[in-house]
Amino acid sequence: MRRVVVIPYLFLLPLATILGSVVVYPWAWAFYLSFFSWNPTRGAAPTFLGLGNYVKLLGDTVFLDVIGRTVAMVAISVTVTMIVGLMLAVVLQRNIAGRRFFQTAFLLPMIISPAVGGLMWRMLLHTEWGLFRYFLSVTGLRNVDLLGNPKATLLLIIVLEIWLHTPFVFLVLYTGLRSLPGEYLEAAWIDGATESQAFRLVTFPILKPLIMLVLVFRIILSLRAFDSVYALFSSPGPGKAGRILGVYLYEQFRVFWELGRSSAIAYVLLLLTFVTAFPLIRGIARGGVE
Amino acid sequence: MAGVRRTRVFLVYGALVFWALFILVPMVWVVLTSLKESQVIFAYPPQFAFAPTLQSYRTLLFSGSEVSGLHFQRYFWNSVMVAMGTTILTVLVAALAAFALGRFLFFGRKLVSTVILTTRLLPPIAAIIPLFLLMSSLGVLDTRFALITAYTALNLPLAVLILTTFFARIDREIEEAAQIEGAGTLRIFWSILMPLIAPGIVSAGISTFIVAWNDFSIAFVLTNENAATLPLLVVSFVTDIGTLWGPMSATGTLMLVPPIVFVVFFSRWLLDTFTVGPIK
Repeated sequence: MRRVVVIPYLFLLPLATILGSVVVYPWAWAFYLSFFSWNPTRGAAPTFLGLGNYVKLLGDTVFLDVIGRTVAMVAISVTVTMIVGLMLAVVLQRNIAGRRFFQTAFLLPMIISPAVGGLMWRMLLHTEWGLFRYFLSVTGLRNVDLLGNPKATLLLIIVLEIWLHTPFVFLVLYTGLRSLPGEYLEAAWIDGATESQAFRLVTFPILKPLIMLVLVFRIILSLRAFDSVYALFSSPGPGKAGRILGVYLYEQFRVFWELGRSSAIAYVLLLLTFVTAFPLIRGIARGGVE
Repeated sequence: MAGVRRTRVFLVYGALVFWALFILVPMVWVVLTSLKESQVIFAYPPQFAFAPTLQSYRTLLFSGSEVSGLHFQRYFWNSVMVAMGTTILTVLVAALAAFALGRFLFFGRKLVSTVILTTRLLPPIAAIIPLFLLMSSLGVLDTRFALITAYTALNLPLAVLILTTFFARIDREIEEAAQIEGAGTLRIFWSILMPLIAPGIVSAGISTFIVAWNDFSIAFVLTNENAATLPLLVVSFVTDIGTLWGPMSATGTLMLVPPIVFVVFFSRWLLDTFTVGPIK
């Protein structure tokens, strides 16, 4: 009998080794570092700051700007992504002509590297020969340099986020809708409900838990956006207007080598993630999402 | 009534076509650019009826190092080896863990599931600092080993999740019959249960491969020359003296091939993965 008790732990051992050494241990190390000032390029040993890094971040207007910009980007892009994804999922439930084509097309950005996606948009928006310039001239609009204009930077990041991530929302809600029990809707039709009533009173309430789940995931993943933005501008953007949290973190770490400070930023991002994911984590802990 | 209906159909299709164009135009534009001669790329207004050429691909594959000092072959093999290594390691480790979680009741089982799912929420962009410190202290920066272990850790939670649901679905009788025949636990796991969860392995494997194949952030920090992968090559065509748009779009286009092939051939299994993954 004793063997039966030991076996599952043995099978979990490789997983525990990898997650322990590549996730838990380094994260604990970063937590420790976040209480120090350490810049290896200056050759000095780490000096203990206590909560210094965190206090400094909260008083730093640049960092607060970064947070504000990130929150705005996440709020707008996630809202649009959710609404469009839901609408596409509902429309494609009907057996309309061209359904397979649209379904495939709408999913494509999911399998594209965000870095390549960023470059695609960079080519599209090229000031001299980009297709977007041509499109503007055909529709009679003035030529504008979107990539070089700091005022447009955040808008471009939002468009790119929408382009990259609407497929995920679409996919989950689309498959979710397809597995809905049909009886409820049928009952609604029999009672003479209009289409908008059926959606509002039947489809949406059933879909709501799934929508909340996708929403949480979208916010978490959008908070950490970095590679697509880096590929779009290969810098923090014109006038640093593209400095969202991920970009700023990378900058502090890899450009300025502020290891203590960037570890503290990593933990701010982690905190934002867990605050957003709190309902989800509680669900997992209760075993409801297993 | 019929008029209202027709307007609605028209509006719905208009919206669908608009969204399809929004999604597809950037991709098609890159593929077209990769097939243009270098002068044609810079033409304005853009040319749509051009004679396609493989010039950019030839430059990339055969004289990339002369033009830009970038060796496509090296990046390509790194990408292939890293993505395959990650896939194999992830599936193997995840299957072992999923076997334990899906077939046994043991003390701490729930805690283990919770910890695994929580690690799935950790942001990789923030993990680059601790990962960099870890890999540099081990002296394995800029090696495929560093990338494979990092990607495996990144992909394990989802893979465990997928495979656990597959293991849990298997009838207990199959296992009991094998036990009576005298098969040991390891043998039951490998020869009997593993073949039964093949669809789960395909799903977990493909999603792992795509993540490893597409990642930029982690490779950007953990490698610089020897182990650098294709997403880094794409970005490095932006140089101080200008951007090599032809080879860049050719690389971008080639990078789309493996994921598209997988999705076309295994779309049914993938739908499974993405539904199981985030929802359950």
